[in-house]
Amino acid sequence: MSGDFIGLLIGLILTLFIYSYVVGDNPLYRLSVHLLVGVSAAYSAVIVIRHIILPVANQIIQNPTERESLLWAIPLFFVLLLLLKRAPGLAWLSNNSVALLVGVGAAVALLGALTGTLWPQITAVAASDPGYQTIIIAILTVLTLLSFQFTGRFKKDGQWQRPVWQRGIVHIGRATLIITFGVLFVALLNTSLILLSSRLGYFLTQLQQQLP
Amino acid sequence: MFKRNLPLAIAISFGALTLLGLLFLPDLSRLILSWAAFLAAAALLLGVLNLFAIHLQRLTKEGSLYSGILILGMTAVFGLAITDQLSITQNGVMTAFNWIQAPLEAALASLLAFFLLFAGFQTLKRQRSLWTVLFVATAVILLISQALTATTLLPDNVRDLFNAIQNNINNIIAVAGMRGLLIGIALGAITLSLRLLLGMDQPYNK
Amino acid sequence: MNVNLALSAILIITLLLLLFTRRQKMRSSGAALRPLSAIAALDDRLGEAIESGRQVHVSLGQGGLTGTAAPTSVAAAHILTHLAQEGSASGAAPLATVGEGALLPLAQESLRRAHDEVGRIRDYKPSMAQFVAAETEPYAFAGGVASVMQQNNVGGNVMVGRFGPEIAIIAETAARQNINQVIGTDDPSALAAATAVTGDLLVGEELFAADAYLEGSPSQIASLQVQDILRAVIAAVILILALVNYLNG
Repeated sequence: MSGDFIGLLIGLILTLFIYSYVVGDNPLYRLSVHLLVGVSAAYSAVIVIRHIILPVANQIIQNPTERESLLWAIPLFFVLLLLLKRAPGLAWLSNNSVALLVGVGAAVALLGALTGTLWPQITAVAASDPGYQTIIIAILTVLTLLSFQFTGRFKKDGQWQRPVWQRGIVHIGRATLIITFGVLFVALLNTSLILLSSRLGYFLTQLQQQLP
Repeated sequence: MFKRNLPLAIAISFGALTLLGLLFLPDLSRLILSWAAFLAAAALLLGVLNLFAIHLQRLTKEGSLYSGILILGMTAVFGLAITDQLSITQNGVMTAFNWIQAPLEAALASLLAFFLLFAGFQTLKRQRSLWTVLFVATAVILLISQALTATTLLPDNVRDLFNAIQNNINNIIAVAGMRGLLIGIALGAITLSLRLLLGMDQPYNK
Repeated sequence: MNVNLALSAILIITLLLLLFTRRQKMRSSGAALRPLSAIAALDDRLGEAIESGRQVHVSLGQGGLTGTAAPTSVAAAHILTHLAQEGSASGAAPLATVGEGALLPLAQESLRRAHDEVGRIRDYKPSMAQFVAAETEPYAFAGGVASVMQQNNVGGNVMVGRFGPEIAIIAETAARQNINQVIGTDDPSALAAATAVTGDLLVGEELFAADAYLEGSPSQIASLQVQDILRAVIAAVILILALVNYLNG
């Protein structure tokens, strides 16, 4: 038996274990999910060690006095702090490492949201084909956006009230959003059905080729 | 006080330096981002250790078969990584990936169709509101339209009608809904990021 | 978008944020915020779990802290903190799962501090927060989280943070076990899948606003006020651009 055929057989068996969930939760499904979690976690760790940790370690070992190697002392120090998470009395030090990640992440996210989402989404209106469709899309976009309004005021009976100019129109925005989710749901369903049929097709083709 | 101020100072200074780097000094941002990636990689390794420790405990204390399988899978991949490194095996880790992880992930991904179908069928049973009805109605209309426009049995004008319905929902309503949603998300992300950079929000000090 | 424009936008929003925070600090009363059913449902899930002698499961998703998902993960961590504070006071701390390494110390610290604050630090165990899979393995994460829920005594499910469409696997598993849920994410596909399962949704921007509802600090409230101002401005700009585009066409 060739290695390819063994791999195919293992893959087919594990796939059937996963598909057994269709008839209900069962030990075979749980077993394969646990196997997946274990293998994937170890695989991620191996990749990280091979591609991130080892190159840095090699660089430091080979050229310990170089400026680039010396600079790695800073992240290594924060890694050390992270390791203190379980040390009694010193666990708070690991918050410094989390703080570094949060600070960097906030800066990346700020520019990402501003230049990668907000600006392109607004300017896309101007770049659209001129026509009644653009106007309708713009109106529905605005109504969707306004439906998220957070601040307003409380009426005498304690009911929350939107600003006057928004009342009555934002339900259209909420409806637009729900219809969008319906569209996305169907797109997801289509994609996963294609994936399912291609998965089944793959095994059928491979088995036909491998079996005499 | 020091215990709270030190992380705050680190978050603000590294945040400011990253922002400065991203806007004006690409070398600086590259350096800080590589540090952050290294730190995140170390955090991932600690996460994997956490997973290992929890399931090892469950295996030894409760005798959980599932945890045993998880530990077995993990140790096998780590073992193969070591034997690969010592040239005892060749591409052992990749073989484990191709034979076990890839088919399992692909199977779960394709099973998503069933999970979505189950969820879709149960939606109105689980929650009855006007919005849910609208959600289900949209999905049903689109699915029917897709089926009807694909068939050649219907007259052209009926197919054109369903095509128009599909196009208007997909190209007008969904585009607007998505755009409104994304702009809102960007607004939320921008203000929260700024609060983090200004030290007004300190999740590391919670 | 050029650098000057980005910098101007950042400066203007920062100024607005500082101004409104200052104003909010001087005000004695809180702000009138739109009621969000999912926020109330968070405490309901906790209450239901405590009453039935079970735990609430909180998943923080797969968003990292160093990328664009950072605010999403931070917003999710605020919700975990709230549930940890409320739950540990009743001796029913949540069980947290994460799908990204850096979220683990954040979740652990949140749970540890909550126990410390209510004088129950002896009850805290680091295993209350579990790493399940790396962010590059969404299906391993979904399957793993579903298994965690099945194997532990979970009475309520809260999924907040960055998820993909695979959220359907976790949500449907919880629904089959009759576990009530609250889902909050900024991923449109995940939101679409979640809409089919629960009505208690924190949709996109609402997830970022959750801390203002749960804690209500001046800067959090100010943040929502600034968002609403920017919302109105952007709405006007979009309408003007569309009109100009139409007339030019």
